[in-house]
Amino acid sequence: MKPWMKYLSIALVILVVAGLAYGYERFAPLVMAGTGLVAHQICNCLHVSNRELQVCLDDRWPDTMSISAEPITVNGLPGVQSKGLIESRIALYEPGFGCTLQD
Amino acid sequence: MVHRLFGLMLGCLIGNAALAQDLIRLPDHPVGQTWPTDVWEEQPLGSDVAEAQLNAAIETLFEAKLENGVPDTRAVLVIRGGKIVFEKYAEGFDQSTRFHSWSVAKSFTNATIGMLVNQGKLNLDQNAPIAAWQSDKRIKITIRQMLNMSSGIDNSDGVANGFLGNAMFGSGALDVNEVVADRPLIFDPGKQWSYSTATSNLLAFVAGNQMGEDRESRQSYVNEHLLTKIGADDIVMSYDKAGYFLGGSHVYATARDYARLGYLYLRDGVWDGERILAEGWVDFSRTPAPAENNGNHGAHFWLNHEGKGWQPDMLPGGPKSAFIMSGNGGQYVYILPTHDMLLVRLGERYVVSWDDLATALASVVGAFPARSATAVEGSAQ
Repeated sequence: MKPWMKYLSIALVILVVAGLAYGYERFAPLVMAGTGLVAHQICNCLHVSNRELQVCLDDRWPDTMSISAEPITVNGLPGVQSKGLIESRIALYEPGFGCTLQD
Repeated sequence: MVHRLFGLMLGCLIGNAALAQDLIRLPDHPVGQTWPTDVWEEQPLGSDVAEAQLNAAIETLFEAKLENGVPDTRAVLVIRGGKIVFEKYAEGFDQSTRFHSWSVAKSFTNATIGMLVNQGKLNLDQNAPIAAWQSDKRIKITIRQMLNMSSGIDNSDGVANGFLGNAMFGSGALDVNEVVADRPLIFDPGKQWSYSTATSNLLAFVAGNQMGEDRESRQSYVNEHLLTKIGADDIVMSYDKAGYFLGGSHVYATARDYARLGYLYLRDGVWDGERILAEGWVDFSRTPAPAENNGNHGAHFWLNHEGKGWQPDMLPGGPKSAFIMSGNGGQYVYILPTHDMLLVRLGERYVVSWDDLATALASVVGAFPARSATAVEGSAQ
């Protein structure tokens, strides 16, 4: 490999890594918030509004549809775990207080 | 005249005297009628109601649905003269459903502060007891300015980089107030109106600290002194893990319980003979915040005045005296003193636009006649 190709390769790798780091820094908080919102909303829909899971999954802002959510139980408390591309969040339900994000 | 003088006196007590005297008188609960603490009395619509107009507006509201069948409007409830005269739910919802709301919680926060002011635990013009603000110019921010969305803090819902989402549901969600208190002052307090869910959270933090040391004691306090008194203790308020009510969003309640809180305001903060909110509190809440760039926001309530900037029309063509709890997605509790009426609309706004929704709701209100001019006494509509 010619020296200039080696330097170009290194520069490209640095560029890609920097791009990924910037992208993560920029968008991870938004993804985390979206995942948290879904856990909170679906948990309350299930346990406070007493609606069916599929109904709750259908009833949310279209731009959060890519975030999955499923019922869980943690230390005896029912709740919902949501999973996005890089984040997972848990909201747990306690009677009288609704659902609270745990992490 | 008596009421104008009374309004002036209340204005002096709570403030904004010049503005309070312009408010129309709030109607009294009908003599001899049971308060809706346990049961809402129902009665037919009445022959003075434009039923065809009402039906057309209701049909418009309930026909908007997502492709998967999820409806925009899930509940519409009309209270008139203290009685239910219209109530309808979309399929899958009923009287027992607790409906989600977004910023309607801000008006709940207003109620908790009004309750604490009535009890002498807080006053409007005290500096906000928030630790992070005590060592700089933010120390001057008052509870009144916060309720008027005019704290001067750079914490509006529009702050870039997902500030609010991060605080509520991202890395700040465990202790929301620690995150939202850490924002700088960018305007002199009281001068600039700026819609801020973060401010509502901080007000709930201030209120919560007056009620108890943990989530359980705070919720018990709100139940004992407010919600149980009005028969609405099935309401679920959301909390962060630090144990504070999320004062800016995420209250869950039945349509009738949303109406109960609205009814407390329609009756000037008094329920069944007992004053729950401070005297003059409702007038303060329905008086425009004095910041120059504000048109139709009172104190954590919206008003049917002309908005400025992005402030939306709340009830086009409806009475100017209406004041409103409003949440993103179109959860509304319209309080209509001219009609002695409440209109509750719950649901989301996936399909219908803000303008179309407000127009349909205005048509619902328009189907009901206002009270007589004598009854309204000095109404400027």
